[in-house]
Amino acid sequence: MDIDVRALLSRRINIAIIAGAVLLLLLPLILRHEYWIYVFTIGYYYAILALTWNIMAGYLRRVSFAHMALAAIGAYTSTLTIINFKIPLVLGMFLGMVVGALSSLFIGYLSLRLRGVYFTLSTLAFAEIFRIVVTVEYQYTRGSLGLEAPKLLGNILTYVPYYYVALAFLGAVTILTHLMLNSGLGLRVKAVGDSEEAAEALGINSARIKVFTFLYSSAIASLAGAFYGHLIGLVSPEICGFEQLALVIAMSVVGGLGTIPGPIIGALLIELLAEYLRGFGIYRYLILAALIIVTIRFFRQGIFGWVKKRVLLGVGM
Amino acid sequence: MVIELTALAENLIVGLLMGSFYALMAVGLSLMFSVMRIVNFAHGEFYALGGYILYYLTTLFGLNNFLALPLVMAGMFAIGLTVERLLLRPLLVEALGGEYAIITTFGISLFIVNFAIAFFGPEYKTPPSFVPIFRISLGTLYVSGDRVLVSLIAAGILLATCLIIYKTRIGLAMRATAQNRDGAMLCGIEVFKTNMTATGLAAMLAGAAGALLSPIMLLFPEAGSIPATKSYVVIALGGMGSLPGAIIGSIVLGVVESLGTVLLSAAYRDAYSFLVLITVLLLRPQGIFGVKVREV
Repeated sequence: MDIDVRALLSRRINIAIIAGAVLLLLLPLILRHEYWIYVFTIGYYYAILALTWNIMAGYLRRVSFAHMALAAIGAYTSTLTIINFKIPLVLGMFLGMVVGALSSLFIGYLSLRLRGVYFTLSTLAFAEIFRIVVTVEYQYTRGSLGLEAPKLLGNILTYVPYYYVALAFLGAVTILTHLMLNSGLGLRVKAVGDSEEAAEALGINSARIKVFTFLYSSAIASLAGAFYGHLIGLVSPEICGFEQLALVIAMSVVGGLGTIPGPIIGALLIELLAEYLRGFGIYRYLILAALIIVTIRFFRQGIFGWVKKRVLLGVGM
Repeated sequence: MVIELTALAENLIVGLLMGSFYALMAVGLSLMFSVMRIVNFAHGEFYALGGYILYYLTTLFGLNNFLALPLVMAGMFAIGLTVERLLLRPLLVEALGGEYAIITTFGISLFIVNFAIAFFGPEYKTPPSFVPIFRISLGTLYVSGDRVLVSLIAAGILLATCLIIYKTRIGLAMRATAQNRDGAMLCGIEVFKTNMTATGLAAMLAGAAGALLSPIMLLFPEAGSIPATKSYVVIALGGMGSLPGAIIGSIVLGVVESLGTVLLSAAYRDAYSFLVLITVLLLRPQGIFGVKVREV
C-alpha cells in the first residue's frame, strides 16, 4: 500500500472544513430561533479571540494574559471616540484596532526581548492596570456600570444580519491567518516558537518576529472587541474579566493548541456547552477549569488534533 | 508640612510591613521558579486557600489562631506536594514547553477560585485576628501594633525558610537543582523530589501569607489576585529566581506603593507595581540581583 498520507489527510481536512463552512452558512435557515442565532454570533466572537490567542500560545508559544484587555481597549476606544467626537462607527472600530495594536507594540517592545515568562508577567500586569484604570476613571468610562455602545447595524430586531457579519469576520480572520502561517513569515513564527536560539542561528530576527506576531494577534483581538461592544450594545470591564480570559483559553486548549480549526471548534463547542450549563450556575467555571487541566494533562492535542489523527486519517481504528 | 511628613512616615512604615507579606509570597514563587523554571500562576489562590483554611479552623473548630497557623501551613504544604506530583511533574517529565506549565497553573488558579465561590461562598469573610487591634505611638507617629506583630511572625517564617534553604540537605538539593538540573541529577540528587519540596514550600508560604493577612484585609475567592500580581512584579524586580532579590524587591515595592499613595493618588495604589515593572523591564531586565541566563 503506497498512499501519500499527507495528501490524503489534507484532502479529507479540506472536505471537512468546506462542509463545516457550508453548514454554518445555512445555519440560520435550519435554526429558526433568534436565541440560538445570537448564541452562535457570540460564539464567532469567541472563536476569533481563541484563534488569535492560539497564534501566540500554540505557534509562538508565548502565553498572553492581556488578550481580553486588548479586546476591551478596542471596545472602549471605539465607543468613546464615537460618543465624544461623533465619528462614523466604522472609523471608531478602526481606531479601536489601532489603539489596541499600539498597546501591544508597547508591551511587546518591553517584554518580548526577554524570556517567555517575562512576557506573560507583563501581559498580566498590563491587564490588571487596564482594569484598574477603567474602574477608577469613572467620569469617562462609568466604571463597572459600563457605557452604552451604539449598535453596529442600527435598530434591527433580528440577529441574523449580525450572524453573517460575525461569520464573515471569522472567515476573513481564518483565511488571513492560514495564509500568514503558511507563508515564509509563518514559517519564521513557528521556528521562533520551536527554538529561539536555533531560529537566531538561521539568521531570523526573533525579537522582530515575536513583536510582529503579538501585533497581528492583538490588532485582530481589538477589532473583535470593538465589534462585540457594538453587537451587545454595552462596553464594560466585564469584557476583560477573568472569566472571559478563562473561556478563551479553555476554547483554544480544548479545541487543540497549534491548529487553526481547533480554537474555532473549541469556541463553538464551549459556547454551546456554557449555554447548556447555565443551569449549573456557579459550577460552570469549575467545570471549565477542570476541562483545561484535564486536557493539558491527558489529551494534549485537543479535539482537532484527535480528530485529525483518529477519524480523518483512520489511525487506530 | 509637619502633618504631611507624619503621614509620609506612617505610610512608609505601612509599606515596610506590607513588604514582609509580599516577601512571603515572592520567596515561594521565586523558589519554584529557580528550581522548576515554572512561574506559578495559582500563587494568589494558594494565598486565598490559606486564608480559608484558617477561617474554618478558627470558626468551625474554635482553634486559636496561633495553633491554627501551623496547621494551615502543613495543609498547604500537602496541597503543594499534590499539585506538583499530579499536574506539574508530567509536564517536566515530557520536557514540554513553558506554555503548558503556564496554562496548567492558570487552570489550577481558575479551579481554586471557582471552588471557593461554589463551596465557601462568594461573600467577604473576616477570620478572627491574631492579636487585638492596638496602636503604638512614637511621638506624633501612630503605628498599628497588631500589624507590626503579624509582620514579625511573617519575618520569622521567612527566616526559618532561609535556614531551610541555606543550611539543610534538602535546601542544598534545591540550590543545586536551581543551578543546573542535569548536574544535580548526575550528583545523585532526586530532582523530582526536590521539585515537590519546592512546590510544597511555595504553597506553604503563600498559605501562611494568606492566613496572616486575611484577618486584616478581607477574605474572598479572588482575594489572592492582587498580592499575587505584586509578587510577580517583585520577582521580576529582584531578579527571577533570586531569594535575596525577592526579599529586597518586596521591601522596595512596599515602600514605592506607600510613597505613591501619599504623593500621587491613593486610588491607583495597586497600579504602581506596574510602573515598577515597566521601569525594571526598560532599565535592568535581569532585575536587581539577577544574572543574565543562557539557556542553550
